[in-house]
Amino acid sequence: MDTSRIGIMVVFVVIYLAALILIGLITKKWVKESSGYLVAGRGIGTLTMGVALVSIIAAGTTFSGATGLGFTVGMPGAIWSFSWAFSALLCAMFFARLSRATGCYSIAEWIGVRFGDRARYVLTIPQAIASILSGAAQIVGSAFIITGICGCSYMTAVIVSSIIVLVYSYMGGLWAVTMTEFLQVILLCFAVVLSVGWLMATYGGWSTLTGSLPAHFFHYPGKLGWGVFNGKWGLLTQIGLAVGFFLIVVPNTYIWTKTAATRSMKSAQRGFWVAAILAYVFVTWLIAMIGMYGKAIGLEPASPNAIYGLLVNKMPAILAALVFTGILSAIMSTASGAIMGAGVTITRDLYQPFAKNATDAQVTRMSQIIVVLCWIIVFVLSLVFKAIGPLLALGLCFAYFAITLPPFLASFYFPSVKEPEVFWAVIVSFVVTTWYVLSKQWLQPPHFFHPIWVGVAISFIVLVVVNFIRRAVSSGSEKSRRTIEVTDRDTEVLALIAQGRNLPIYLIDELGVTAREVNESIERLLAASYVTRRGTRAMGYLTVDVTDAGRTYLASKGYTVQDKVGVLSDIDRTIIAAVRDMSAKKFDITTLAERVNLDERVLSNKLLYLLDKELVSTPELFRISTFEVTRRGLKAIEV
Amino acid sequence: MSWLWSVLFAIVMVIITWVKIRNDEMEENN
Repeated sequence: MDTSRIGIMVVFVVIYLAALILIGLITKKWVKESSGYLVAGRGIGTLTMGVALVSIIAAGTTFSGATGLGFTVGMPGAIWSFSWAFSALLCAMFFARLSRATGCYSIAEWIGVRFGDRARYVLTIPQAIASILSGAAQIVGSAFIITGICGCSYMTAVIVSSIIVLVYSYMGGLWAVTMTEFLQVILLCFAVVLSVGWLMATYGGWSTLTGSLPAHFFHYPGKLGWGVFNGKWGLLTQIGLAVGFFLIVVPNTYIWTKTAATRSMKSAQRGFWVAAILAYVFVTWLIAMIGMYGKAIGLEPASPNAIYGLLVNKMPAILAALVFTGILSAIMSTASGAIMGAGVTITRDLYQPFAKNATDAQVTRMSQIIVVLCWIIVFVLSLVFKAIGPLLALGLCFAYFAITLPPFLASFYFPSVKEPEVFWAVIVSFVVTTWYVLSKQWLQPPHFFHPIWVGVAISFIVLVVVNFIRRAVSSGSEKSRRTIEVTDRDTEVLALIAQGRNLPIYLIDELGVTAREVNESIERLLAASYVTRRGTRAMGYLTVDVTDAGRTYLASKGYTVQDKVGVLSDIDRTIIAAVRDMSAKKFDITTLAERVNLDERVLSNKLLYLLDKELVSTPELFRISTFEVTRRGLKAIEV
Repeated sequence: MSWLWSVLFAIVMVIITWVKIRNDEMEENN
């Protein structure tokens, strides 16, 4: 490659990296407390959520693997992102609301609340390792692309791409990660569209493809298939891949953390939907077409996965630089998301339970240190995986996510499952899958059992078997009912539930405590019959309602109790009315707090609830700083 | 051109999900 091309590329990359650092500096100011660092103060809106999610699938592996498939089999190359988008839709339908309603920052935290601490600690390990491995696999991919195009050494490439990721994640936490993902996804969408546009303009449109490629390139899923399915049973391959993605997308801690960071149930659910559409539009057919053009114009890459690189080298310098920056950003966004996910779960599930007296500032500091530690591991692994190959890293990563699926589903849908099942399911499947992946047998033909299938099957079997044994052994009544002391905190929780905060997330945010503390309060209130759960599964389990006994108790403690469910408390009305009065002019939370005479933090926590209930809304795409009252809000205060 | 079937499938899935999302939101508001 001539030097002027490299020069232009370097300029583009430097501008892009500078923009990332700038985002880190800006978002650093947005982080005021640990929740700001770990879950972006639950301020992420629908579009930002959708874009942040799509950055996960728009990864280096997709850009090399799916274009490679486009080159070898044609349209079926879309299968990779197609299956991911399908899982995202399933998440939108069934899991987005549920995981957000728990109020937990990570999957392990929720498992801890639902089953107990032993389950939480064992689950943190595979989740954190999986996140770190997926980050490392991306850095490896990124380094290969940088070396391929710029000709620098692998070591230099790893250092450059990973240090930038560290700098912005360290500074702005989840806000920085999400904001950079936003920039990155825009860049890579441009890269994909411009690539296809340029290919069409240069080599001719659709007819070029249909004219020069065999008919099976246009069948979907066609003759696709791996291992014993190679060349046949395309539909089965499609189903297998869709289920496989389900196993790694649903119980995935960095996707969970993103969901926890959304500003409302609506944003969480619609975010997954937006992500699926973006994936369909930008990273399925168009990506496959890029590979197909490579075939149609007769390129012969050393490996099909290098086809995009060859095409980029044919493009005019500026376009090539833009596309290159787009691919690079796709990889870095996935890496930083994964490092942040590992950081959140380690802080929340391995540090905070043992540092109960830590102040919020200490937690923020510690989470920054943990992010750096995760990064160091990623960095070292990126160097190691160059030798043993990223395939092994991804095999372990996917398998570790998959083994947590049975406990994940059990926590919502199977009330009879208790802690021992989850503990042993995770431990046994963790050990077995680690051995299985490292034995490398699955890499030999017939490639039949990818580690995810082994992982999920063992985890599921152990869960079921231990469940049967435990239920057979522990017959009769489990524990004797002791008299329950309801604490002041519990009374506060009860009062909030009576004000409509009937899901854990509302209580966690409003009181500024952990999910575990809220859950303990709810358990005591349940034992005292002051509240009931609406059901035994899913949302019904999470939703709590105040009983008549609870109302009487609250009244005896001097609280004013609304007699009807869904009637706003006086304080909520005051806030909505204040927002209505101030909507005309620009205001910030400080002014509003003075006006309604509340502590700023208490107010912003109350606003999160009102935002979720769509009584107020915010015009901002990113960080929430101003509010408007909605039509529902107006109606609610008129009553 | 059987890949167009999967485009159709994708569109149908997106619509079904949208209906489910709206349904969940309506339920929550009641």
